[in-house]
Amino acid sequence: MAEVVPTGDQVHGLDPRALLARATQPLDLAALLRAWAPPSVEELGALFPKLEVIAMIGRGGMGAVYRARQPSLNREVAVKLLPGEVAADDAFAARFAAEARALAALQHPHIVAIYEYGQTSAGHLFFLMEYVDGPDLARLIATRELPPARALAVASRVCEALQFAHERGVIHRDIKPANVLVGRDGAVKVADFGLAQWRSEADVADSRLTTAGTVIGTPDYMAPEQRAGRTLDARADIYSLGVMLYEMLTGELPRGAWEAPSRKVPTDARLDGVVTKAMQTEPENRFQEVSEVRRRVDEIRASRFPRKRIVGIVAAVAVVAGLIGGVALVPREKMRTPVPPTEEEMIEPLRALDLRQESVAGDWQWGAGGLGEILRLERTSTHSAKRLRLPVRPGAGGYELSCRLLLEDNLSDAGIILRTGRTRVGLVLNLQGSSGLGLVDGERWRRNSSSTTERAPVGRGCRLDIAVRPEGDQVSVSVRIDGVTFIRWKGAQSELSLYEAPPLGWAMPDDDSLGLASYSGGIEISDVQVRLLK
Amino acid sequence: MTADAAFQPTRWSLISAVRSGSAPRVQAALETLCATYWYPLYAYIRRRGHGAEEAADLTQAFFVRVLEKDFFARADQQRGRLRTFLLTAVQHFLRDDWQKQQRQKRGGGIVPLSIDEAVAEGLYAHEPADGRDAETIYHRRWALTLLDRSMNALREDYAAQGKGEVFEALKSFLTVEDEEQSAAVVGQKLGLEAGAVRVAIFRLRRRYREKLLEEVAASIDAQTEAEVDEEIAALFRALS
Repeated sequence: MAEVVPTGDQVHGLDPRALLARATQPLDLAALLRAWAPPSVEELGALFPKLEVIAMIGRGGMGAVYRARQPSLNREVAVKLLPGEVAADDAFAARFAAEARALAALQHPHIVAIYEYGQTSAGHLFFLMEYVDGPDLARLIATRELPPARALAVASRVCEALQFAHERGVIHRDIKPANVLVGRDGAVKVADFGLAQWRSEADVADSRLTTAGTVIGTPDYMAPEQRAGRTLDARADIYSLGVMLYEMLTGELPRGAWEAPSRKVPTDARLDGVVTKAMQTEPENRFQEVSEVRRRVDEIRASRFPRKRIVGIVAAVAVVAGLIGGVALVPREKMRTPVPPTEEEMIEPLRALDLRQESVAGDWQWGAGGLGEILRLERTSTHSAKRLRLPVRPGAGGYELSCRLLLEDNLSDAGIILRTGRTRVGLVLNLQGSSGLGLVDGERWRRNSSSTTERAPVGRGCRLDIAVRPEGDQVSVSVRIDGVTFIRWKGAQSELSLYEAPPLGWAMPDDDSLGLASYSGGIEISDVQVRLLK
Repeated sequence: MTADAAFQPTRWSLISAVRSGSAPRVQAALETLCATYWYPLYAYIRRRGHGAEEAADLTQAFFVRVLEKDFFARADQQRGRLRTFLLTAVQHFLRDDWQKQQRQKRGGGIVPLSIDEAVAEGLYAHEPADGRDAETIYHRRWALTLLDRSMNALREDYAAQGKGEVFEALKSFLTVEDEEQSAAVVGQKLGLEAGAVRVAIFRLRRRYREKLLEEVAASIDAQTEAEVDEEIAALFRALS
């Protein structure tokens, strides 16, 4: 007889109805991974006896990340753990090892290095990786800490990393902000190269088995061919890069008939073209190589802020506006606004800043994006006057200073050291619940006429616009936050303190420069632009 | 026809190959076809009131009939489930033709199957003694056969990888909803950590599901998932 026939009511000793019921239940891998309980720090320590596991620092769609120390090499490492369930079958281990070797070979300053990989005795897949101390891009987007200049700087580095990988035949497959880490030292590092394929492998192995449409992770960044499960090449990464760039610039995902970035936010209109081309449905209509994207981004970066520009046209328009204003109902205040001078100089002081030379006190550092992008001051336990000189020396004319400022929380405070004529004055923001100009007529900011108990927003970035305008022997100082007037003061220059150190401890080595300051740290300052009016 | 179709002999497409294909292939296909269906058919015939010896004879005679050239010509025309087609065919065979078939065919031609009465009766003794009719028994037996075939295929896979022990230790999880506690116990037995056992169970489930769906799809030569779903619903009914 060719085959054994089941006896009685059982199949291999099992209840047939239960067997059929359970076997025909879709295996919801996504739900399974969601329900996955990552090992505790102690449990992971037992799996990796040579590491000192410090903490779990992330839990993603398909795994968990731990911070650990490797005492033998005296370095910090990240352990990325994937549930063993993603391994489709027994042959998986071999393929995993082959791929992991390729990933480990990707050594590049903008790619998170992989030190080791394998399977734990409990069946997890793991990667031992470079530890990057800093947030991911998703967080920076969420907290609006990504001014366009910085977004482009980050994008350029991501391009560099992808170019390097593509040249070595490695496709990332999951480019999205959460996979771009930004170290506190400013380094941009792309993480999780090729990792998505393990996830998709688990899906494919189960393609007819999982419920239709089960997608693990967010498909928002996936190229159409990737979403459709077709063969993909490096151009899928270019699509995802386009989506990510759009999000970095606008803070939103391009959904449906999306609007060009420059129509949503003030940004270089040439970026619209970059985003549009990267996000073409057909791969052949996109940029064919990521180096092209990078070249376009870098061109725009280089030309975005001309050092000097003639604004004669602006002046002419202003004059016309002024004339019309005389007839039409223009707010009085606007009419009083002096006609802008015909020439101005735009300076981006952070780009020329040498931290070692210009730090007067405090541990000022470069944050995400590298040199010249974001200035960070970590929270300190002691309250001391930290300050830094900006390489800008305003002349007798007025000036405008704008920047992005992030105050991490209610304990953070920030200061801008301004200068009017021969007088220096400190603008205090959020110090112990109030803000104002350091000393006015001998009175400290809490009691003087510039003070406010309103607070600059904390926990998210805000835009700070400061205008200092001498008008005869008077001077006006206006501070706007996110376009809304925050402090406005006008008075005789002599009312501003001539004290050496406004406010307490903000003494500077010279009288001419502008500066930044803080007492307790916990701040980030970026995109500083100073327009000197002549 | 794909290369592996020879190993999926429950497919209609294979049946058309029976008529046109090469002799060894036809032989292999038929053998598997017989091996899969003989017992559901035997049980049906028995439940129709035939004695053990008679039922064995009739089952074999029926398969001789199956071998005839025009048999599947009709099958193609009414293209439904093979399971249903065979049932209709055996009903027809029993009702009208069996005397004639017996006289003409018995002892002649290729008999693709020899039924050991003792084995057949041993199996039949397990059939429910309640009032279920022959048709119910047939469908039920077919569903069990399908589940069993999938299980056997899975066991062979594991055995081929030297993991027969793992299969035996874990197969009970194919019917268990909550596996956490017993997983730990099995883990100790196999010398695996609980996490590794969970992964192994997941794989086993996945692979059994694959095998079963393959079997189901092949048995009805399914073109769409909807057809597979429909057949699964039929299997549930057959087992109720």
